[in-house]
Amino acid sequence: MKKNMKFFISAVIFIVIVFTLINSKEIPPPADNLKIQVASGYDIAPDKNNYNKIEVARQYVIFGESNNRSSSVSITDANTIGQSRQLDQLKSDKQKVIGFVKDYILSSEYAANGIRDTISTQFKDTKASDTSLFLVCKGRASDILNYKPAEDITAGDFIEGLIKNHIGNDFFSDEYDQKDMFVRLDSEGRNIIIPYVELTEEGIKISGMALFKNDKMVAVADIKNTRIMNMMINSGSEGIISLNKNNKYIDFITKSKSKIKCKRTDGKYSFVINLSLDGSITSNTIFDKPITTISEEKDFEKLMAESVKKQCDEFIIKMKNDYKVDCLELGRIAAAKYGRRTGTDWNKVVMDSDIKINVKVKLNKQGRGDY
Amino acid sequence: MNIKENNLLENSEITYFLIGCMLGHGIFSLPNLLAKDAFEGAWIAALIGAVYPLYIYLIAVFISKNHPKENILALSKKYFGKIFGSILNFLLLLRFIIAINFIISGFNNLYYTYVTNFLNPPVIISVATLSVAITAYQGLKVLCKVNTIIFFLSCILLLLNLSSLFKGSILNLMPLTDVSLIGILKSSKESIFMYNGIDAIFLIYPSFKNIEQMKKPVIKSILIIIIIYVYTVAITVFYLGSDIVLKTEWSFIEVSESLTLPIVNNFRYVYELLWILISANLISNTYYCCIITAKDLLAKVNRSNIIISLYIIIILISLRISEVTKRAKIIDMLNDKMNMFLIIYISVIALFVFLKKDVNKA
Repeated sequence: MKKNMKFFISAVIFIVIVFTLINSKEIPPPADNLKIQVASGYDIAPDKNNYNKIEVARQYVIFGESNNRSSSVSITDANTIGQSRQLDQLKSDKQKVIGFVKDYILSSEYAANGIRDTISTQFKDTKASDTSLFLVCKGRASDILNYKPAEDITAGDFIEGLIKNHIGNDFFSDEYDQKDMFVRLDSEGRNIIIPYVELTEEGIKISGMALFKNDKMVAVADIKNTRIMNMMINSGSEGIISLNKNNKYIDFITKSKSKIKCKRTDGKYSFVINLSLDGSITSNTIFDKPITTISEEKDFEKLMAESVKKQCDEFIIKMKNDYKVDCLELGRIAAAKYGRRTGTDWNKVVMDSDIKINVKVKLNKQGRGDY
Repeated sequence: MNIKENNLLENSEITYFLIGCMLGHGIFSLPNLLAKDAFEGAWIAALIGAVYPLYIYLIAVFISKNHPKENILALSKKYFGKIFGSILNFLLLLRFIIAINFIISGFNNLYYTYVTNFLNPPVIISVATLSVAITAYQGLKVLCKVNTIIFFLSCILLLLNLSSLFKGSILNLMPLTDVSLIGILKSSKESIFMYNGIDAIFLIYPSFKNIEQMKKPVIKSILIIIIIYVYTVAITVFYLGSDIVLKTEWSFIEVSESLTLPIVNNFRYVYELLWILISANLISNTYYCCIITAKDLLAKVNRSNIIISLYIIIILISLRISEVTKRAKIIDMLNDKMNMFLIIYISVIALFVFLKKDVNKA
């Protein structure tokens, strides 16, 4: 290298180092001076003086000396989400780490009021990981966070496990995280659907699904309707459906596969949902012995299909009359076929449309025998 | 003689160098740029935008066939006379300097937002520019070797995004029927911005080893870059949907989040960190183009002095335009004019070459 080039490089490096040292903030503190945020709960502030609008409950895990782990919940009333961060720090002697939040719990009151500001705050934050879950809770979010499921576990961790490990049951999917909120909100023909939890005497449990229209929660589906709804929207998910007949029953563990077709005639939309369920029988008290002949198999499949179809039809009536929101993402399919950005209110279109369901059941295996 | 011959570029190196001249962090905001008017048809716009590099390719092949030993700077002096030719070359230098400033200010905006928000823009810009200046100082052969490595890194990083195929939906790319042709054409004009690194070919073709075979590596690089851009745009819209693409500043980064690894809390950060190398590679290629053009204008000035003065100029301009809104406005203002200038400049030179060829034959 030439002499002046060498001089130039070292000069720039020197200036940069000096500049960085002058401008640098303090060195990051050691781990025992940090508190790690594991969960956030959003609620409408209870005071009526109309100044503080949001109540944010934050759950922290603090690593003390000699691997001591403790958790605490700090509740802050503030006017905006940004201010609540500052007010929260007023009562704390430790530095906050926010990249590890596992779940955001929105109280149903808060969710019904609109969650756009929460989503927007999360979207702007470049440090936040997009894998944190979103869910709605009954009652106050701070009550949920204050609940201690076990000695060594925080409510935030518990709820994460609750949702993630429910995959494989009730046709749950893995699409309830922050990313899915971003992708669904404002996307044409889609609505947010996230789990709904409540604090009961048995502890925190999932009790259904919260259904959103735009950024506002409009209804809650109970666990029975959740099962049927998830079966129709989450293609590839698994769950157990039961067939009851004269005090006897069959449990059928199945993988759902749904294909939705959309048609438009004279401005009226009609949808056909082709649901195919294949799976195995887990328990059987209706048939006396294992199903061996083809005719018996056909019988069972027909019986099961009829029962599922009946439940689906009931769900659709409920959706049109009670929920009044397109929770099967039918609008998305219609938009993809007949054009976007036309100003159509897909929720309304779906409510007025004709929805037909075809169910096909296929029996794959029956376990090792029948008792 | 031997040393000189060793410094000539192999065919594969030409391919990688030209890819390195186009591929950078602009790819992160490319889907936004195109989805603004073309929506679901954004990937078609990226495909149509490839008309620009293909035109440059045809001209470059034509000129290099007739003048294999002289680059465009020498030719412009030859045909337009020393003074007027130098003015045009100065405009070309200006174009490269503006381009490198756009790239560096974009680099600063991206990494200041996502990765190094504990540093301030002057530090980011001066350190990044210093490192690329040193790379560009090493010469073309070293640059090509760097480009080769970077190409494989970028392939790996781009392929990682295939994981989003499990999460997106083909419904997001439909329907194509309500996308207007005018919208697609408007967007494809925007995509030219992403292809305009290809003009480096006019400066470096005298250093090709087999100039007769230059068609193959050059067209290969253009095809690869077209595939990369169409893939990027298509997969981003596939994963997010055009409504959400327009909400983000750098939509392609969101796609990298689709890969969830155990332990790694935020894969986006890792992805960005690795992509710095690709961005730096793009900047050093452009820096090299600036050096060649400036050296041609100021033949008597020492090469390292040129590098140092360019460094200072670049930093001063980049710092001034690094604000997001200001940068967008300036790009809007200058981009079309810059491309227009280049197209006219090379077309006129090609025309002169064509006319002179006939005269010589006659």
